[in-house]
Amino acid sequence: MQMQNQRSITSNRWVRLGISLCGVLAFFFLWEGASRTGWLRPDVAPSFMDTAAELGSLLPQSDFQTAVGDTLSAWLFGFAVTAALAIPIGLLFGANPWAWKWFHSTFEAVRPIPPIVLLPLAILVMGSGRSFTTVMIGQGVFWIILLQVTYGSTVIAPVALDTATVFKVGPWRRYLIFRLPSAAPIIATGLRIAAGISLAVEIMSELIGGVPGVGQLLISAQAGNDLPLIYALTGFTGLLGLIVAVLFRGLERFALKNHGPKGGAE
Amino acid sequence: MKEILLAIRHSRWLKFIALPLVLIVAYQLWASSAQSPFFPTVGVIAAAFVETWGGDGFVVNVVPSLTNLAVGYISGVILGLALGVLLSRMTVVRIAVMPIVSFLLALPAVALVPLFITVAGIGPAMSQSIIAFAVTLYVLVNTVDGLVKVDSGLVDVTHVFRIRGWRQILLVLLPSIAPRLLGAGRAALSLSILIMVVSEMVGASAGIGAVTLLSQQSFQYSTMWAGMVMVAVLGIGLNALYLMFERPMLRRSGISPTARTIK
Repeated sequence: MQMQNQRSITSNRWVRLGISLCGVLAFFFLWEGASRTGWLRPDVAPSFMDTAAELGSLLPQSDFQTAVGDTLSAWLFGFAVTAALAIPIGLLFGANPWAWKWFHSTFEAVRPIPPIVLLPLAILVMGSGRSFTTVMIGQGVFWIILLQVTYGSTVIAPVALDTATVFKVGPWRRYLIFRLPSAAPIIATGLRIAAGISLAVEIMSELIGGVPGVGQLLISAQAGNDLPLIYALTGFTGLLGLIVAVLFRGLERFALKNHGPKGGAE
Repeated sequence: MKEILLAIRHSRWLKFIALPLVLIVAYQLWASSAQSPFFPTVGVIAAAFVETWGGDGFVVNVVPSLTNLAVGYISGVILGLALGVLLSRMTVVRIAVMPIVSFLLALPAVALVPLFITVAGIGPAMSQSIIAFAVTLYVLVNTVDGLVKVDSGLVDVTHVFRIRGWRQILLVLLPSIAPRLLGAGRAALSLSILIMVVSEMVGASAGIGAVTLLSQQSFQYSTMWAGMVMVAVLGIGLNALYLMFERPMLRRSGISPTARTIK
């Protein structure tokens, strides 16, 4: 009975939001308390207030803003170029089962290659500019988007394709009007996953490849053993990741709501 | 003749090998004519691979990397499962903790490397703890989300048969979300390999990642290629190994392995 009761209370949206908020606040209080009582040693973690103050003092600094801009623009550029290549190619494979049969297993095999593999060579050949980060991001997420798009465009309901045939819809319009909308939710899922990984690859290229951005600030903070700065920057990176995740989650919801596969598909 | 063509058409193995083979041959032809120091020929890379990772190199660099990977991954999976089961039972705590967990999950795991190097110092503890941290989060979120969405009919069945406590969790609930857990385990494995290499590249003097980056910085490009090949082979090989275990496990839980997991 009590179980029943509890479930009904926590299914209320506002109650959930309240509990979540309390959870976050409790986390901050516990962190601060652990630091103040000395249980959390300062060489392991600065207090919450120190970290927050550090982050607050970072935000107005112009080099920090430049670094954030560098990270975001390199991420967006690399991700957009990769998606612009992978989505059409994936759709082509989706419409061409013969080609897909030949390349499918190779693509599946290439996917688990860690997105860092090209880094040493790519730095040598390209230096640490925009083309380098784009290649790194491309190697990391091209296969993910491609495979998702191809799977997505094969889930189209046979009835829809038959309809297109009956109405003598040409191949291009067949693609744009029939395959693409039915693939949209799965493509959106692929893009969400790929966007997160792209950001990670961008940060990674900054950490190791010396590409300017938040990752490079992190490395210099580590070299300076500046623990509050490291925590503040790491926390900020988490915020960037969260924003990207939320934005693409929204895109995914939008695709699901508007073009959701109507029956038959996942 | 027709039979041979048919055999070629239906051979999975051939389809798998065709494109890589063409690419390797094309690379070899190009590399041997280009004579670029950055792009050694296949033979040179293969020799460097054997020299770098065979014998002593295996003991000094490959074994520690793989040990870190295994320790971090396995402890992450166990911790993630345990915490996931715990959180799925405590509704209020779960709702309270989830924002923090989502935040940590959205944080790119590689960005934790500088923090962990500063706190744990350079060494195996650093790599292991970052891997364990990232894997724990990943497995935890998938366990919680899977268990919370378990069909209430299944829970009712366990009540009817008086299956409670540990037996309910281990025999009924966890197997019912096996496909999702195994998919999460595979994604977490890929992530672990990435973290292993990145953490070695940022701060280590031994290990696969360290050797690869150090050889690049000291202009030993064939060794660098050997390292890159090693990283790729590890990624592909461990994934294939995982799939080999995943299939029989799914079959045991009565689920055909056709369900692909996208996370």
